[in-house]
Amino acid sequence: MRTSNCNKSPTRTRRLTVASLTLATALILSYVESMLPSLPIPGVKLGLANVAVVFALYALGGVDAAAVSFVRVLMIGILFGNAASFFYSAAGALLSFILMAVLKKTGKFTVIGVSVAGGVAHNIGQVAAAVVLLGVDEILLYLPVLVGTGVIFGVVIGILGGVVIARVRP
Amino acid sequence: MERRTKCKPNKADITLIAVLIAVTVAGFAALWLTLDGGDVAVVYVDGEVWGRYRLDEDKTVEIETEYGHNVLIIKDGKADVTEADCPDRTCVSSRAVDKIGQTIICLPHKLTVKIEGGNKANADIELQ
Repeated sequence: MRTSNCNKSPTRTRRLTVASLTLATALILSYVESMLPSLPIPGVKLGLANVAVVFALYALGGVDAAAVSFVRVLMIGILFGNAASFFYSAAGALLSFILMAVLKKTGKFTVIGVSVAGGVAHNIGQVAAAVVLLGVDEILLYLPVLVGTGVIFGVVIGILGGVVIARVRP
Repeated sequence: MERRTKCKPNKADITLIAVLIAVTVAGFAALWLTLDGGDVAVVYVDGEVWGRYRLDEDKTVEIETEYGHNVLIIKDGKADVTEADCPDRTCVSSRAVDKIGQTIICLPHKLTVKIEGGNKANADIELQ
């Protein structure tokens, strides 16, 4: 009797499971964040869902984490957003992820540094997307605020992420 | 798989954070030094000029576009968005603007209100 060829090796199944749970967590975190009061400055986000992406980056590796990030943006766009917000968050998430993966690859930064870079890149990516879409480049005036808050929130997310990565064994 | 993920930042992290903070401070300093009071509030929808309003004339502007509805108030030389039917209302909660280059943005409505003009800029602005 042949063994079923639908039987994935434990490693792949485990990867899929962990990635899926991480994705679900990211979605819930996004939803929670959307319930919190937000600052009047456009583009300033706590980025709670990035804890999940950072966790995936360290626990699963670049490829799987990229999938988590991409699907997260897709689903948030479908569930909660419109075409414009999808474009902004996709740009932010893309820039953020690339930078985080690169920084992690160099091995010189801890979770905190990676997360800070990710947070700042996310904000900058969103602003850049808004500049492209709205065609008004004075939005760039907000950059100092965005970089500053990106650093602060990045540190917070980085510490949280570090705790999760150390405690959770996928 | 690396488990060196303690919660303490290392030297590279601190350097990165310090650089970013320096950039932030420099950015704020640059803004503080160069912003001028403006003359006009220009409303852009989807990148195109929708209307221009002088800051020295108090006015209430109902902006009704295919994307949504916003209310712009020009008062005491400042422009402010006071009402909108967008989901997040970031535009409404943002402060009034009056310096050149300052903007109020409503992303879902593709709306930007930008302050332009000033002593140094072009003197002949076509106003409605």
